[in-house]
Amino acid sequence: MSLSAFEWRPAGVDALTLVFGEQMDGTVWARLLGLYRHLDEHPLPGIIEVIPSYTTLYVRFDPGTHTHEALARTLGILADRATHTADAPGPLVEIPVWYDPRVGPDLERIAREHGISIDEVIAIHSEREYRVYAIGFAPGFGYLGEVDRRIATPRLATPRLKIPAGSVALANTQTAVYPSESPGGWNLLGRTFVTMFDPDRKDASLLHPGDRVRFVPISYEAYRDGGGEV
Amino acid sequence: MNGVKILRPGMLSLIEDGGRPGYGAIGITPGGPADRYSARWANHLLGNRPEAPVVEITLGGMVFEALGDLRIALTGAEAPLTINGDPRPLWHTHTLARGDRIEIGMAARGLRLYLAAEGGWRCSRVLGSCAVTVREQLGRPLEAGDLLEASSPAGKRLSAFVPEQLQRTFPSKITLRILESYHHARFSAKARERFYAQRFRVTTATDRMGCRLSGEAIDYPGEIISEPTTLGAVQIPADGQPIVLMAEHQTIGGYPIIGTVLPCDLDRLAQAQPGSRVRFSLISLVEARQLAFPAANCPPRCSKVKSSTIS
Repeated sequence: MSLSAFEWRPAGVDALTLVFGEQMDGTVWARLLGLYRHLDEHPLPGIIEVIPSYTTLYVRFDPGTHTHEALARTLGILADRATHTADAPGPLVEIPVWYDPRVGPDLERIAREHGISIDEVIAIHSEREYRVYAIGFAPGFGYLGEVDRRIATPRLATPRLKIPAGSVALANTQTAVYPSESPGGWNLLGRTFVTMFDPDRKDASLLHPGDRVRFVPISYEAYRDGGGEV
Repeated sequence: MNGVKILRPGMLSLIEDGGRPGYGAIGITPGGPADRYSARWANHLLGNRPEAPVVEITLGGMVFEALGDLRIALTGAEAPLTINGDPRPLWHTHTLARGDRIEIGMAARGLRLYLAAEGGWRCSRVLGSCAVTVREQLGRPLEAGDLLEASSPAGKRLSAFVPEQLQRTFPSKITLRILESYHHARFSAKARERFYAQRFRVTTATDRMGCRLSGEAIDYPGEIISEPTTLGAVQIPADGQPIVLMAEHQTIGGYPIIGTVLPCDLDRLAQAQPGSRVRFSLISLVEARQLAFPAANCPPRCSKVKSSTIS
């Protein structure tokens, strides 16, 4: 029943927060993603914005079309129907990465702190398939998880003022690619030549919530041939 | 060309329209005018749709020249407006002829002015909108030498103005009505009491992304699992000094939210200069709905945009 899918709360006079759980876990997130996908593929009239995150789904609506109560009821029914799509794996996005201290200035420190080699850091980071849990901070910046605890590393105490676009980074058990040059406090492992966000492209963001992501280690030559810069 | 040439852009002048709602899932802020009330009135005066492109001029200081015949309106903050040296009123339409020189002085009260042209300003759209978001590298502020074209030539309309009682006022003390957030239980009773009892001060660390307030610190209940944010949400960060999320707010945040300010009150906050005093007043969802929607039910100085009282 819809009772178990989520609890709803007003996020504002024209918005709802659907709370699927108190803690991040696979079941909670799969349900949340199922409803998000359903609304993405079959938009409801009067829905202005739907944003998924780890435990909540945000829905902004036209208050001339919906009330909080009635919309929450409708979404509860849709959430029940959407459960069968929840477990369907998202598209796999492969991101080629040149892992190297020249573009990944924190590689050596991460290896040292965990008592492993740089090659092991690279192998551990690139062997796993990640999921895009949420996108935020900047357009196209996907929060990917979960990173293997053997390389999990807290954010820098002092963020860098300038991180180049395409930088592949990790913070605790999350990993991400910086889509554009920006300040940031995540640990840098390497860089990709892939454009993560381009507002003029048909699909502006390479990543979408629910996608699967795999990082593929490449050589300097392949990075350079792909258009990468040092 | 039915347009203008920017001679001096002012400190920060941005084209804004309805923004980019619908792209939050890929991390794009909604954007749009910080003070929608004033922007909508500027469009309304010219018979434009409410979210036609306008120029948001922060603090004034803009000079431009008319390159042809067009009709404009300027609303928002209180700043001197002259056409060829003659003082002209704000919240009023003006017909310009080729060669006219228009000067907008510095805002004495309020923060943001809205310049609309008949038909809206012509602009190129990215992701469905021409709203400039500097932080997201979507568009750029106006520069000297830029040409802006009005979508329609000056029509045969009579001049129009916004009645004085519906024009913005700029009190030094404002009360923001706020809906309680479901995070409220995370805050101690003392923290909540302190939040509603005091008058905060608007700081200079205020921009289109967020309005930072300062006052007696609110006890920080700790980080939350990051979740999507909404326009008007009041975050309490670790230092206990509230941040009210404005038009260009980030899409996801990890600070607990104590409540969400009513959109029409947020428009007033967007005009509050640093040093203004702000207090929060709790309202229920039922009350909030009656006040905010439909827009015509909003009391004066809120969002009485749809009531056509112009001459």
